[in-house]
This record gives sequence, C-alpha cells and structure tokens, in this order.
Amino acid sequence: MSSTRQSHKGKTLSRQGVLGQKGINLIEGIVLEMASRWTPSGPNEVGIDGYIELFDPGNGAPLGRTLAVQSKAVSDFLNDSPDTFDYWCDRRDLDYWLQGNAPVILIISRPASDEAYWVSIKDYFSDPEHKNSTKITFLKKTQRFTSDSHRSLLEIGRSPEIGLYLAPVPRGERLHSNLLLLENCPAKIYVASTDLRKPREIWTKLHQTGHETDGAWLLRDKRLIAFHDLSEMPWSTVCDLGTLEDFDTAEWSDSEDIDRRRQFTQLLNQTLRAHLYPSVRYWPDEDCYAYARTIDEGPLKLPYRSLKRKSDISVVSRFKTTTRDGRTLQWLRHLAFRGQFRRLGEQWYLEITPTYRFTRDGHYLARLHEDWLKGIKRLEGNRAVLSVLLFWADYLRPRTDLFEDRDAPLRFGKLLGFEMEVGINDKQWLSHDPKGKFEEIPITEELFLPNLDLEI
Amino acid sequence: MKISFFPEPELEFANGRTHVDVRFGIMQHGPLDRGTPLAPSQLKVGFIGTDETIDGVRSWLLRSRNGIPAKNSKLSNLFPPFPGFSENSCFGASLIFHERWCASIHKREIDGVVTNAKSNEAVQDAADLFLDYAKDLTQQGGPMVLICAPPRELLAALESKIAGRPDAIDEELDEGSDPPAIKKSLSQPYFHDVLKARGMILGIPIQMVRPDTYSAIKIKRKKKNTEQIRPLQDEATRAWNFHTALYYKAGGIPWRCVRDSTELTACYVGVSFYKSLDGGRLLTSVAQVFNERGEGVIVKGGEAVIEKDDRQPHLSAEDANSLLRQAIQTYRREHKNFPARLVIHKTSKFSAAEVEGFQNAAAEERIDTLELLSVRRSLSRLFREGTYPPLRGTFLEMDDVSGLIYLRGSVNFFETYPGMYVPRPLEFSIAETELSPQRHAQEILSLSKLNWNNTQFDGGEPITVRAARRVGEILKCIREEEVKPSFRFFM
Repeated sequence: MSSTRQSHKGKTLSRQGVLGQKGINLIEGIVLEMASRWTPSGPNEVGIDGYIELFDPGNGAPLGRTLAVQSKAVSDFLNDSPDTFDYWCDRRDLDYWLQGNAPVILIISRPASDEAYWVSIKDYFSDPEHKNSTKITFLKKTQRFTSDSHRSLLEIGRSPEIGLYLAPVPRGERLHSNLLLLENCPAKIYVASTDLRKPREIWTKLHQTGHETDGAWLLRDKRLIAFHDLSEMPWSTVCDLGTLEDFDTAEWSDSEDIDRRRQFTQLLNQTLRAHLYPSVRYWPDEDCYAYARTIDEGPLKLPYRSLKRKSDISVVSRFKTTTRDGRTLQWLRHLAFRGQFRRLGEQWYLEITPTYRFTRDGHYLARLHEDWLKGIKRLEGNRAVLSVLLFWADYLRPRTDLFEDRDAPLRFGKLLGFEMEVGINDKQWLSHDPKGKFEEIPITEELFLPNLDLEI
Repeated sequence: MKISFFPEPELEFANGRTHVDVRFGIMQHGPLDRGTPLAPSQLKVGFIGTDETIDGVRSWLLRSRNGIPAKNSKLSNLFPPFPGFSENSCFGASLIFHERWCASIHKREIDGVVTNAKSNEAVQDAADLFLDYAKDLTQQGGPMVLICAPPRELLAALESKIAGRPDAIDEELDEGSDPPAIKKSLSQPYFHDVLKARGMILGIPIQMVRPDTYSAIKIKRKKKNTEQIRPLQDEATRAWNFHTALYYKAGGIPWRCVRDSTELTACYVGVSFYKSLDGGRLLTSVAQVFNERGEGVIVKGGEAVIEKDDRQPHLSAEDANSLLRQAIQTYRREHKNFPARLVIHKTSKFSAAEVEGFQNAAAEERIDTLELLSVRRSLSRLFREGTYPPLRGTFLEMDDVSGLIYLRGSVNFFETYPGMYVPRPLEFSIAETELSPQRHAQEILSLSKLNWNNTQFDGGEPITVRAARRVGEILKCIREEEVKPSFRFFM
C-alpha cells in the first residue's frame, strides 16, 4: 500500500536544485556585468558547473583566458562572522579540481542576500598551511565575487612574462580642471594720460585725497588704465581728464593684439589682487596669493563647499618646535595659490594652482620654506590638492562674504569639469599598490596635509 | 573644449612584433634589430675606474647575465624580472670584457681630486683624470662603449660643489615659461655632462655608472632633513635600464614607435635653449629623433635672445633658418635621404621671425610639410575624485590649436601612478600644422616612449624636448668642432 501511495505523489522540484540554479544565475549575472561570457557545463557535469571566458571590458576583445568554475549555493554560511566564513570541500571534489592544469575557481554564494565569494582552488591549496585540510576560510572583504573581480581572475595562473595589457575600464568619471570660469568683469575700461611716471607718485597723490582707493589700475606708456571711472574722485586727480577715453571691455578682452591682450591680463591681475586684499595677499616673490594672518592671531579654519557636502579647511596653521638649546620656534603655514588668467576659446579663466607659503610671523618667509614646500608637495596626492582647489574656487565665488560690502568687480563661475568615458577603479588598484596607500596614512601635523573630505 | 583618452601606444620589437611595454616587449620578442646584420651580438665593453669600482660593476654585470628576479610586489607589470643578458637571452647579445680594456685609476689620483674638490676646476680635473685613461684605452682599440665608474667619495666631493643646483624636478620646468629656471641652472656643470662633452672626441659612447647602481646600500635618512633621498629603483629595473642603454650605445636599436606605413616619412626636431657656462649667452640646442630608425642626430644652434616684452627666448629669422637648414643637411648626411614631413617641438612660443625662418629653410630644403608646435609643462591640470591622478593618455583639446596631454599620470598597464608629485600635463599650441590637435597629441604620446635611457615608458616629455634639454646641458661644455652628430654620445 505504502509503495502505491508513493507512486501517486506528483513530481516535485528539489529545493536544493532551485538553490543551486539561483547560485548559477547570480554568477552568470556578475560575469555578464564584467562584460565576459558564462557557459554552463550541461547536464553531465561532474564537479565543474561552467566556464568563464574573460573578455577585455574596454573593447570586447577576447583575452584567451578561460576559468573552470564550481558553484556552491548555500542558505547560510558556516561559522559566519562579519569578516569571514568557512566552507568544507568534499575531498573527492578537491582531488578532481586539483588535477590537470586548468585553473579552477570555487564560488560560494548565498543567493538570498545576493552575496558570492570566490577562491582560486590551486592557489589556495598550494599554500602549505592549507594543504592537509579541506576547509577554506573566506575573507569577505577581499574575496567577494563582483564585476571588479575581473582583473584578479585574469591573474590566476598567468605567466608573469606576458605583461597583459587591458584598456582602462569603461566607467564614466568626472574630471575637475583648475580653470575657474570668469563669468563677468566690468563693462568699461577707462584710459587717460597722466603726468605721473611712477606708481608710487600716483599712490601718494591718491592718498592725499583721503578717498578710499585700491590698486586695480595699470600705468603703461604714460597712461592710466583701469576699470574704475577715471573721471570720478580720487582718480580724476591723477590723470588728464581731457585725454580720458572709455572702451568696451570686449575690445580688450577679445583683442587679437598681443600687447593689448597682455595689458588686459595685467588689469585682471591687479583687480584680483586689489579685491582679495587684505584677507588674501599677493606675494610677488613667490608669485602667489596667500591667506593673511599674523602669528599672534593664530590658526584659522574656514568652511567651504566641497563636492558633496560642506567641510572646513585649515587656511592658516601654526606649528611649534623646541630647539636643542631650549628655544621655541614657531611658524605658520598659509594656504596659497598661484593664479594666472588665461583665455581659452572664447572664454577667460583663472588657472588656480594650489600651493603654500610658510612664514615665521605671517609676513616673512620661514627659512625652510622651500624645503617644507617640496616636502608637502611630495606627500599630497590627487585628492588633497583637489580639496584645496575646491576651497579656493568656493572662496572666489561671489556668494562668500569676501566681497560682502561692495560689488565684486570680477565674478567667477564654476571650475570647468569634464565627463570622461574611461576611468580607474581606485579600490582595486589600491588593494595591490603599496605606494598608492599614501593618502590613507593618518594625517598628522607633521605631514602638513589639509583635510581630505572627498569620498570615492 | 573636449576631453578624450588615447590608449597606450604600441612599440615595435623584433620581427615587427609589438607590445605597449618596453620590458615585456623585449622579453617576448627581443630588441627591434634582433636577427638583423646591424644588431650588435657582442658588446665589447671597456672600464675606467678604481680597482674597487671596476670589480663592483663587473661582478654586478656577471651576476645580471643570468637574470635578476622581480621585486617582490603585486605590481607585476611595473616590476618585471630582468631576463639576463647573453646570446641566449631575449637580447641575443652578450657583454665581452677583456683585461686590456680596463683602466685602473690609482687611489692617490682620486684622493688628489677629492682634496681639491673645493676649487672651481674640480669637475674639470676629475674629467681630465678619467679622460687621460680613456685615451690610452681607446688607442689600443676594441671597446664599443666605455663604462666610467667613479668611486662614491669622488662623486660626493663633486656633488658638494653643485649643491645649489635645482633637482631634476625643477630642471623639468619649461624654460620657455619660467625664465628663472634658466638662471638657476647656471652653476657648475655636472661631472657627467663634462665627461660626455669632453669625451666625445674619443669617438666612443660613454656610460657612466654610479656605485648605487651596482652596489645598492641603504642610506640612512637624517631625521631633520626634509630633503628626501630619491628612492633607488629595484635591482631588476636598474639592470634593465643599464643594459638597454649599453645595447643602444653599442649601435643596437632596442625598440621604436609603431608607425603607419601610409604616413609620410617624418622627422621630429626638438628646439630647446641653454645658457653658456659663463652665463652670458643664451644658445639653442637641437635634437632630432627619427621614427624610422630610432636614431637621433644633434645640431648646435645659434644664439637666442630673451625679449623684454614676453620674456621668452627667441631666434632671429636668419638664425632659425640656418638652424633648420643645418639640421636637415645633417639628417641627410647621416641617413642618405630626407623626410617628407618635419615637425618642430620648441620649448617657447614661436615669434613671427622664427616662423618665417623655419618656413624658408623648409622650402629651400624641399620639405613638403612643416609643422610648428610649442610645448611646455602646463599648470592647467585635471583632477579625478579618487586617489590616483588622471590616466596617462588623457587629452583635453583646449581649442583648435592647443591641447593638454597627460604623459605622466596613472598608467593603466602598471595599475598605479608611478611617480611623486601631482603630475603636470604637457601643453602644446600649434603655430603651423596640417593635422588636428588630437593627432599631434597622439604623436607626442608615442614620442614620450622613445627614451632609450629608461625602460619605464611613462616619461613626462616627448623625446624631442627631453633630448634637446639633455643635449643642451652637454653642449654647453663643448667646443663646436667636437660635436658628434649621434645621440648615442649625449645620453
């Protein structure tokens, strides 16, 4: 009777079979995501579920590399912890995988959580430590099977003499330039003759009027050139109003005449210097603008808008050291930039090159300025310099309180940025690059690094 | 403005086989000329140094003969092993030593120079000492390359004299945009440069070798010294660079750029400026590099002047004309043909007079196509949001006539950024051309891989500019009649 009852039971799909297929599906999805090919073994497989044929994700070219894959899907990992879990292989499976010269990888997956982890069987069991056991301990951080595993799969069993070359990964990423768009500048340029021959004479005369003045003017060929209306006080006192002319700024900014273009650039420089003063001063010897602060005023941090969030940055830092003879030496590090106006295409930009100025009192250069500058530039990587660049770009834009009580003569827009079609997988490179880790060193005062506030 | 990316240009090795990397290319295929009658199969090498340094170099070379394992690193493409240098190795050439080709300098002679190292003539005295022995050696005939191995104490004494010199990074600054860099490099010439310059008359290329190359020792860094010692390369890389340079100096051609056979035969000319040793004159140097044979010939140019207005060195129309005509004639004399296309890379902007002078020379010498580009390290830069700087090969077309190309940067093949400092791209602007900025950028990227002194291919400059600059340093120490036209004497 009982046997008759059994024969009447309908056909069922085994849960184990469903789980196994889900594991395969998960693997296939990931392989396709890495732009490579998955081929299942078919019904008579005896320990290899399928094959991964690797292709160059950049151009789709075959890489002549095929890996045998055994998939094991599980409901739960054994000895599961946040960092590791274990898997015990069947000894017969293991013997089968280890024979022959084809590279074999084992992928353990938990389809319910879309997690998969991989190991190269031959590499793992060639290690004397693992040779006599069938247990594999997976490290979740480094052995996760994702589309980023492509490069590591290629390395399995590869001859070191090949020098395999792959095109960069076709993943879009944004590149930021250090070119800050000059959106607007005064509409007119005023030019008038003057009898005064030296800038100092002009300054003296301007000061005598008691009016507020700035250095946003040029003295060239016995003429005063400025964005200021020279017919107004105090400028009218230093030039011959009978010779006063005004020009549309475009006549200068768009001019093909090299000399006129040069004068326009100088006028932009003078105007920028005048309007950054006194918070940020221009230092001709180092050709840079640096945040001003005396040693008594101490260090200063300022907020700024980074790529994703608000952050703050040390614009002036104070350092102290005690010499062998007991003297205390102090010095300041000022955030600085070199600024150069450039015309590219039809637009003007301010090219910002972040740098530093080390002073002993806020004014005079520290004796070791050059050495410290070289030192910090060696230590700073791409992200650190970008942070400083973003600070300056933000600082120069009109919404800061820099120009709060007067109209900004120069109005800057955003840093010019570009969408690049190929990029770098930083995490993957860092995982095998000892040198690349320099930016992950905890930042100390000695390293002089600004805050890193970017997220990869 | 438009951004794009150029993949790593391929290089050509033996039998027309290619690879993007110099070392892997040589390992798999052998040097370009392998198997041809022109390939040197036996490199006869002479030595000049103390007993100790000669022994040191020779035992290192003997040890390198059978190969040096790769540095223990996961960056396997950046640090390949050195495969050895023998007739059975991928180079297909071996080094031949002979006792007769060794000149041992007595210790007391070295001590004499070290004692007088404070005098202004110390560098010249040291060069005299080596060259006296070199003359005796070459008169006996035999060696194809002379290896000069000065001892550590001599180099230390000579280097204390040149402490004020800018380091290599500063030297890479473009003099066109940065006149102070010219002023800075006016101090004492390097021993290396004087040796090359004055040794040219011997007619045998010289390879100088520092003790660190063959007997690396760890130099303890002084705690307070922020001036970091340049990290020494791993032993396999040092062996690669040394042997490849020897192969080139002995007449071999290790690799060249892959070139499209439909393109015109091109000749590239680098124009750079250097100050005379007395600091009084600004002279021009020219280095030419030819894709076809990977050869360079050198021409010494006339005097340039820095104009008050734009603070850049320029040539008069006559000097520009004579420089280029001389260059083309030297090319023809050396190569028995002349190029259809001539590309000038100059490290300062072109003045109207220079354009006129170059154009006239090209017309007089019947060159069909002349292209004029000024190139310089740029302060305009790009930043990624990640840890690594932009990829080498990243190109920003700034407008119709100018662009930025990253020659130094993250290298996809190495999977790292193999450099210090945030890299500066090369900026070029075109004064005259028949090609688009993209094509010029790609050409410059290829030309950055033609540096037979370095097997790591990501140099920051095209060979035109690098060679012109290096040649300038040596030319300033030499009399005009002694200039050898081959680049082998300058590297």
